[in-house]
This record gives sequence, structure tokens and C-alpha cells, in this order.
Amino acid sequence: MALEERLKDHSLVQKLKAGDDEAYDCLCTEYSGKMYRLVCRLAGSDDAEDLVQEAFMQIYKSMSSFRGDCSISTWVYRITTNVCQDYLRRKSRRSWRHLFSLDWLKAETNRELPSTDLEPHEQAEVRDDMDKLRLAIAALPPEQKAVLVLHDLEQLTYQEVADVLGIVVGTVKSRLFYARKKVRSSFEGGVQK
Amino acid sequence: MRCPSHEQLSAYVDKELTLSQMQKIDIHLQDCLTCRIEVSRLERLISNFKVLARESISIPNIHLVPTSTRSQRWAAVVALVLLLAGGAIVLGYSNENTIATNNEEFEYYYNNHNNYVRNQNTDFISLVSWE
Repeated sequence: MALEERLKDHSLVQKLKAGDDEAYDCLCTEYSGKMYRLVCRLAGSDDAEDLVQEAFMQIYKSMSSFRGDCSISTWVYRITTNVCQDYLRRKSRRSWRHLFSLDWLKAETNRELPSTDLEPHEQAEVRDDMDKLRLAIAALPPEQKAVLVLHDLEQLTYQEVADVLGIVVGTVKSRLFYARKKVRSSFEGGVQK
Repeated sequence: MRCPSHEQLSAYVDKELTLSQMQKIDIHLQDCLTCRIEVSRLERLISNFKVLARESISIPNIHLVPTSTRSQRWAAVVALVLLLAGGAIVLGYSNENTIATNNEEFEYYYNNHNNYVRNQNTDFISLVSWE
């Protein structure tokens, strides 16, 4: 983490610990979008807003215990990921059907592809491929899904993923490999059909 | 060099190996078609992930309620519940009283009416006996 970023983080943490409302607003503005996106990718969009609220509540409550060992963004991602995993655990106790849930697909149908110079039929093909990819990711076991989403979609480094999930880099490497393998086999299998 | 594991190749594509490991695999790839194919398949998958990552998401305007306001809202809800419960108890008590009062009035009129009827009957009996 760059020195400037660390200083900015440090100052924000001090203000948050002092109960500065403006600092809290600043944190919300900076991270609510990122958290919402992460929640949609990990737990689906049905309860995404509630989960973001829950994560913010936990951030607010645990602010005093934040020691500054990692960056604020890592900390925010960690809390959000934990909230999502708890939610999925609660949900799985209620029903096993979430494993086959199309929540994430539903969430993504409103999304727009990045602007490209593709023809409409090519865009439709890309959209179709993306839907298959989403389904393949959604079917992953939660630990593998978390690693893949954080690294391949949220673009975190191995070390950052390890910090967020509280695991070692070697585990990140191995989980990512298995996750990609599974996604690739179901995605390529789907594409070939 | 023996072929690196697929896990190593996955980390190679992410540039998450040490410099010397990266160099060894670079050299190996020059001679190994199988590993080159594996690397290109991985790169294709990752480029698909990048398309997915760049997609714009319509993020709703999440209204984050500060903790203080939340606790105030909870306090208001609790106060309202207590108020309603209190109101219900008071209303229930006054209804009970009304019913009790009505019962007393009924009993009063009922008894009086019976006395009246009894008196009437007594008068009639006395008239008959007088006759």
C-alpha cells in the first residue's frame, strides 16, 4: 500500500474512531457501490441492500477494534465477505436450493456490457457467454467462489485475498486453481453444446 | 525441466510467482506445446472474467441509516408498542367495568321487575282472598 494511501487511511480511521459523522459518510460514499457489487456476486441480489446495511453496521460497531494491520478496503471487504458467508450459511440451513439459485444471474440481467464496437449479434453472443460464466461461478462451493470473485472479478492480489479471507497465499493459489478448473469445465461444456 | 503443475501455470498467468519461477516457466513454454495450450486457455478464461468484471452494475441508491438514528428508530418502535399495549390494557379494563356496571343495572331492574310482578301477584291473590 502506498504511503499516501496509508496516511489517508490512518486519518480516516482516527476520524471514524472519534465518531466523526462526515468520515462515516465518506466511508459510505467510497465503499457502498463496491460492497453492493461484491454482495451481488457472492450472495445474489435478492437481499443485497440489507446485507450491505448489515456490513456497514458491523463496520460501525467494530471500528474501535480496528488496529490498522491492513488497509481499510481490505477490512471492508473482509467484513462484507463474512456477512455474505454467514448469510449463505443461514440460507443453506433453510434450504439447499440456493446452491442452484439463479439469483446472481437475475442480478446480472440488468447489467450492461462495457461499450464495445461489436455488432448486435456478436454482443448477444458475448452476453450469452457471460450468462454461462455467471452460472458456472454461482455453482462453485462458497470458499472457492469467494477466492475467484475477489481475485478475478474484484481484481485483488493473492496477498489481498489472503488478508480478506484470513488464509495463507498458498491456499488462495490452490482454491483459485480448482475454482477456475471447475468454471472452465462447466463453461466450456456449456459453450460446446 | 518437467512440466509445471497446472496450479503453477495458473499462478504464472496471474504473475504471482517469484521472478526465478517466472523465468523457468518462460523457458519451458518455448519448448512445450501442451503447457502453451494450457496457458492460452487460462488466459482466454481470465479475459472473459475481465469482461464480466467491467460490466456496469446498476447500483441502487442505498440509504445507509446511521447507528444513532437506528437506535432512535428502535426506541420509537418500542415506545409505540408499549403505548399500544398500555392503551389496550386500559381499554380492556374500562370495558370490563362497563360490562360489570351493565350487569349490575340489569340485576337491579331484573330484581325490581320480579318484585313488581311478585307484588302484583300478591295483590291479585289478596284481592281474590278478600273476595
